[in-house]
Amino acid sequence: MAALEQLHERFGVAMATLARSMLRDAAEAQDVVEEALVRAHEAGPRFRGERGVRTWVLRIAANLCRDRLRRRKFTAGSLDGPAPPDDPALRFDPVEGWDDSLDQRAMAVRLDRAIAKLPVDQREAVILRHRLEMSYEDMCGALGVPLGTVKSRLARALAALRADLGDSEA
Amino acid sequence: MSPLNDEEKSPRWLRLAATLRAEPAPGTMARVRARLEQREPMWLTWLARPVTLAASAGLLVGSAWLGLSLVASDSRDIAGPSTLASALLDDDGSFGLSLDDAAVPGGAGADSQGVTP
Repeated sequence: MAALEQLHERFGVAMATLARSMLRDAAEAQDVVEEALVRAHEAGPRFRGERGVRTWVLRIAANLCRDRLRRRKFTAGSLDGPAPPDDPALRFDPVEGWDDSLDQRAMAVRLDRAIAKLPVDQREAVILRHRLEMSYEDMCGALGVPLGTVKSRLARALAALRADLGDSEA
Repeated sequence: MSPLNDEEKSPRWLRLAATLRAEPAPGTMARVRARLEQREPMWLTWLARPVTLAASAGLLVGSAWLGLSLVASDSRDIAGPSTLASALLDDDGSFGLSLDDAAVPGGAGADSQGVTP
């Protein structure tokens, strides 16, 4: 149980951020976090430490998110509800040194909505890479796909985000 | 776009992706502990897995087939001699004895074509 508490303490935010960004539903995301912790606890003895604990727990959480999305039968996620920075369950950490003439919060909301519209595999890649700041190698471990696939998903996602948001704003 | 240099081409606004963080709800650990307590024992979960069920069904079918084949081969062994006797009786009723030669005094066999020494 001590190990489980450590997992929650160290990776709870990353798991919650991933689940929340993928599912865009607070209750479902919380359920995924709890279930991921339970599964990590059960699978603990089989953990071989190849990619590190963070990658391992995020892989469990990502698999659970994919299962939920498959069950929902749609991939875009709900765009209703409060905009992320105004949602009390979400924390907004502004980027330092940002151009003050550009409304950072408004752009973050637009970006979040654009990410939510991406297909699941691309959304997952963008969230792991740019929201959770994972390395490519760790992403391979978390997604269970080769490096080339990770990079091509990111490239396709970025192209879609560019098309949605445009390059001119920042 | 080449996937290999997407990093260099990332627009500045993509940095905003990292500005949002979600926190697990308060009481998460208490609920996780409750879930673990409610969980079925691991061996029961293991037993209920589709692979395990399929393997058990396969074993059952396999052992049933083996049992039936053993029973069938035993009964074939028992039935063997009577079946052979019937086959011989059906053939000519002689049980393999050359009765034809004995029945014709001094006679030649059917295949001697009447040639006598």
